[in-house]
Amino acid sequence: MIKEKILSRIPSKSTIKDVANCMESEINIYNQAHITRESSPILINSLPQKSNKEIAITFLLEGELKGQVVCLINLEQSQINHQNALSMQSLLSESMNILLGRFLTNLEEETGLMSMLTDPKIVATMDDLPNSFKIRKYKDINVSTRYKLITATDKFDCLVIIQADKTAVREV
Amino acid sequence: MDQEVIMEDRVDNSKIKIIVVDDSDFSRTNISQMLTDAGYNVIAESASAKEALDVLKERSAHVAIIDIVMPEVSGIELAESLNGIFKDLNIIMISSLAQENIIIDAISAGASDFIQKPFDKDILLNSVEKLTRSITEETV
Repeated sequence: MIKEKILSRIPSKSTIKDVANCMESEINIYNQAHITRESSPILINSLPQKSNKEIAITFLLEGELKGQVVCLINLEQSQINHQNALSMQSLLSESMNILLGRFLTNLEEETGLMSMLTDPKIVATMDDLPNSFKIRKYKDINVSTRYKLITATDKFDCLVIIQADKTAVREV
Repeated sequence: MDQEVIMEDRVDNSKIKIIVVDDSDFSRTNISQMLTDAGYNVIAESASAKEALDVLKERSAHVAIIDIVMPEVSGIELAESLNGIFKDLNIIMISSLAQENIIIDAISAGASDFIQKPFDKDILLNSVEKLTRSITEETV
């Protein structure tokens, strides 16, 4: 396998446009949940401070786009209780996994950037986020997008924050 | 014409044994439900590659539906292992990531089909039906 630097193929502009084009506006998840985009991606400077009413579902991005995704899900209006907590957590993390997988697939088609997603980790509150998520600075992509996730019983406000840098090395 | 003859001889769905491997409890449950609603025999739901290997050492299956992104051992690695051990096992890989490289890796690992998540029930059932067309009472 030859590794070589292909700097010319890395897009330097229109990042937010690329992200906006690649974030799905609507996804039906096995007729059990529905995700709808509520806002266009906006630039952010850092991870927002949020209340303890939210859980964070985190992913790492690996490959030509290297970084992290934090999905903040507001549980304030939800019916989550001790009985359904595990199944609801699974639904939420798989929904975000599907949303981001679709995003990365679209991004590869749109820009050629090939990136993988690690399996999701659930963090109870923002305070519990590992420091690496909070401190690390990214220069290429710092965007957040609002989504609504609707199930048969609940509606969740979701904030999807993508922070990443484009890497210049790819395997040819 | 040949295909029609094979279809007539194909065994009942209840004799087609399927294992579903996905670390997401939500996806596993939904996929298994789609299959059991269509009459297939879901012999196991496994949350990891290790669990799946343990099941398949004890019980045979005609089809394995495997998620690609899983902790520790990926679905691609699991497919490679299964392909080396169980020559008659049909593998369908599933993932929300569907970049060209990933699909190529899945097929190279021995998958017969790839389906992007989330999918309609009909897409999954068509894939299973296509891969199990040649299974008859004699070969089941």
